[in-house]
Amino acid sequence: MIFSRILKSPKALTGLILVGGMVLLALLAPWIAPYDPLAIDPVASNQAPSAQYWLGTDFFGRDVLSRMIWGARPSLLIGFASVLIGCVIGSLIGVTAGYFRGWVDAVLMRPVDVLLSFPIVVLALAMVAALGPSLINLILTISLLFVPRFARVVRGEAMALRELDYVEAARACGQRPFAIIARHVLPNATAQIIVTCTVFMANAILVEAGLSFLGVGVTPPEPSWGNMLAEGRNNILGAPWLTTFPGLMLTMTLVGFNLLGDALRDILDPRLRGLHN
Amino acid sequence: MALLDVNNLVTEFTTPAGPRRAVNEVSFAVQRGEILGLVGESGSGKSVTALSIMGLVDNQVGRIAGGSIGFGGMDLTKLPAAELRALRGKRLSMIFQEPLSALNPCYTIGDQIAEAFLAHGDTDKRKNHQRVLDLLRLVHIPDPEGVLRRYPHEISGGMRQRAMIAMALAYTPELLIADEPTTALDVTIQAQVLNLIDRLRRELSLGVVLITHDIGIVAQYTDRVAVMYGGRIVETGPTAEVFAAPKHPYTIGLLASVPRLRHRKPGEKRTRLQEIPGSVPSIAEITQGCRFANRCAHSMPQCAQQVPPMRERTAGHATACHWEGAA
Repeated sequence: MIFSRILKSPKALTGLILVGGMVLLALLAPWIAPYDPLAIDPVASNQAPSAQYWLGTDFFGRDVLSRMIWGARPSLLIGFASVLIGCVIGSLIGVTAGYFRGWVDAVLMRPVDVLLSFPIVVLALAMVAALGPSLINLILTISLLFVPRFARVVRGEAMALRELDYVEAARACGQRPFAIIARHVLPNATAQIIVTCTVFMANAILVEAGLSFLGVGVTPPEPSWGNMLAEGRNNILGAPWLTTFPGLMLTMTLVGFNLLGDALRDILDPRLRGLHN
Repeated sequence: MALLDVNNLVTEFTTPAGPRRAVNEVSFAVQRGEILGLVGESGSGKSVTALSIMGLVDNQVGRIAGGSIGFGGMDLTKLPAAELRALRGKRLSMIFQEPLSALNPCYTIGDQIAEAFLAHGDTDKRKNHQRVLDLLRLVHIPDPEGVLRRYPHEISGGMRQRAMIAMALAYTPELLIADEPTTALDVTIQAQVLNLIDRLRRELSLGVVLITHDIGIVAQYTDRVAVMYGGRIVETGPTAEVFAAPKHPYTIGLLASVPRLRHRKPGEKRTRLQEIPGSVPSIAEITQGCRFANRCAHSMPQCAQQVPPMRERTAGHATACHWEGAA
């Protein structure tokens, strides 16, 4: 049902193709990348795109196309992992706070508000600087950024859902609060959670790229779109392919996730059904 | 001893202007096997009274501020939340006005009713299946095996309300609170559902609090009636007696405003249906004295000064009114 609606919506389909394409690139990197992304070739330094190097080479003579394909891996991995962790923890906090309200809400949401008051990049920089740059630390840092954001969204949903008649009926037959949350509240919030995940995925990838660009994310020589942009920045006029292509990849991925999230919201939210398209 | 003994119950809601009483010093009792009708207009405090008994008043917006609710030797207003929860669905049950929205669309009728068992730690699937089947038979649902697997939207409103009743009866409660159980149903289905509740209270000797704004239902199905207005009970007594000789001007007006089914003789003029002028005061308005005074045909100076106390006029028939006229 939902799948056929996705296929019918041009917005959703475009998003799905872009996101799916990126996932395939990342998964198949070892087989489709024409060169070793780390192989240095001093002779082929800063080559413009050609039949041999489709997207050119960087200062060290490394193939931009291969690095770009491999660079999809950290971006997507960090995006998926941190959104997943942020989603699970944030949703649990949010649904508990929104269902119980009162002092539970106050206790759970105050730290969330504190985290939300920091600008994303400042908090991320501070965390990575303290923990040291590694894949795990990046994932932990970025998931911490998204925990409060998920908590906010899900709390709002839970506050609306707790007023439903069948939630009250479940209370009236003596059901335990956490069983009510698990059976009646969370399942009804899943649509909202899925949409939020998709949109936040774009944000997470952008944060990863930003941190890598600033040199505290994926560390060279490992390729990532962010650090490729940073390396190419110095020679942006002499070798524009170094920044153009990773930038395009990043843009396409973000557009893909945003389109998908937007379309999913329209499709999954029955209140909006029929308003668009 | 009465099964349920509500005494001077006060339930307050927080409003921007401070706490306001939705239920104000309400007292009544329900015996086993008895149906008490709680009747009144929207906003008169009927449902809040029911939620107070069930302990389901949302603690974010309201609280029980006074009085007691005696049930099985306990005071429900003083019971810890966990103990009250253990009573709900087991000894105290409630059914709701809208059977469609009171059932989760994601679960089958069978799963939904079984939730009552799961909630109280009975997790044996096969046993629960059998018990759900028995319940569906108890409430006379045809083809229980089939209905079990249906989703709420796949069965009729009457069937849904029967399913809700089945769920409420999971553990054969002592007290059943029915909050406008037939308001959302067709008239023909109404009678079926009410007859079912009537039969169950006799067979299972349930005490029933039947909340309704339908005077006809009260007349036909209840043993005793309590008329609520503006958060207070204004008149209570045996249903037949209250209907034959109402004492409170509100009850008199309420009974006069019921349309009657009868043929007009040829040439007979249409009579206009009586109405009570004005509308129910919001709980936000603070009034001194009787809440009905501004709509009352028999209002006296003291009505605006002093809340009339509940006084027994004849045995078991009491009213809260300064006016002595109607005898």
